[in-house]
Amino acid sequence: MNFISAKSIALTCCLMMFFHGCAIIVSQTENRAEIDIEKVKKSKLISMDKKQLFQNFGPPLAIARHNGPPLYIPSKPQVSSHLKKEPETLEPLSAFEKFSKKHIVNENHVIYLYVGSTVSGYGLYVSGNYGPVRTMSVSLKSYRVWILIDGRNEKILDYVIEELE
Amino acid sequence: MKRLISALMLLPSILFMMTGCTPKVVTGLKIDHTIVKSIKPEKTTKVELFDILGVPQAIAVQGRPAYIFSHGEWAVEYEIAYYPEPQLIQEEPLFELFKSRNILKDIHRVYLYYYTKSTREGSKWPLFINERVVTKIDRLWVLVNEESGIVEDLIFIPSHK
Repeated sequence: MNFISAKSIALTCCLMMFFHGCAIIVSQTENRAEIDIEKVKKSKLISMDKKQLFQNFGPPLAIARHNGPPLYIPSKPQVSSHLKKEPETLEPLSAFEKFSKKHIVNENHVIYLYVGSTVSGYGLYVSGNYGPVRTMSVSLKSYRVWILIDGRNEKILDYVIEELE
Repeated sequence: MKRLISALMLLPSILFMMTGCTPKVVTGLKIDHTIVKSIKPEKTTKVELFDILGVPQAIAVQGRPAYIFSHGEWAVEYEIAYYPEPQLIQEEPLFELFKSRNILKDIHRVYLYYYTKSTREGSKWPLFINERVVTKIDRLWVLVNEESGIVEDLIFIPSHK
């Protein structure tokens, strides 16, 4: 590599950098930071108790109890308008329904709800007459993790991961 | 010698180009173990807590839903950071954290503090950029007795290493 070619490469790099700016071609995000869904999938939730659950993931977003108050669940995040959205409210019985096929749920059972979401985008830069044009295709996955806990011994009995596209 | 100069000239450009810009979006005051250790249960007062960490992002009262101020983070589809609207949550999960360690009464409040850092990480190539937005959150929950104005308990869960 001689001196002139190095200078021209450096110049080319600077020009490319100028035209690219700080934009995204391919990206991923952990939207919000409530719960890392990959960490949930790798964890052995069934062998945990409530204390270990809190140590790993903090408190849940909502708790469902028999005859308890409704749950506030943030609406599914929107990709292009992640701004004002009213939370959904859910009756506790609907949460217990998720476990009714495998468990005979009773008033000692409690359900913890955690939520998380990931956003990924794929895009392309196309050079136009007025500079580069960016096109992006963005997809969002949001997750709800429902955890059934025995209130008497505070052990996790079961869990369900719901994936909302 | 010229080769060395050429390489030295080229290296920062290539490195900068490959790492790209890494701006950070930060919400809240930094919370670390030193700060957390300075808050002593049964000794630190609410006023002292405010001096250390400022106003909390949420205060939970038993029997009332709480609003949490949302943190800022990078939006994928735009080259901007955004701050979602405050979020309405059930207060019970915050008290549940302290339930096994404390006898909770109506005079108790849970103060929530968090520190988030949203960053873009990745590499830039001439015709391709691979980027990942990562938001990490350090959370601190403080149980305060509103009657005595004393901090009774606290739980800190960091995500920043």
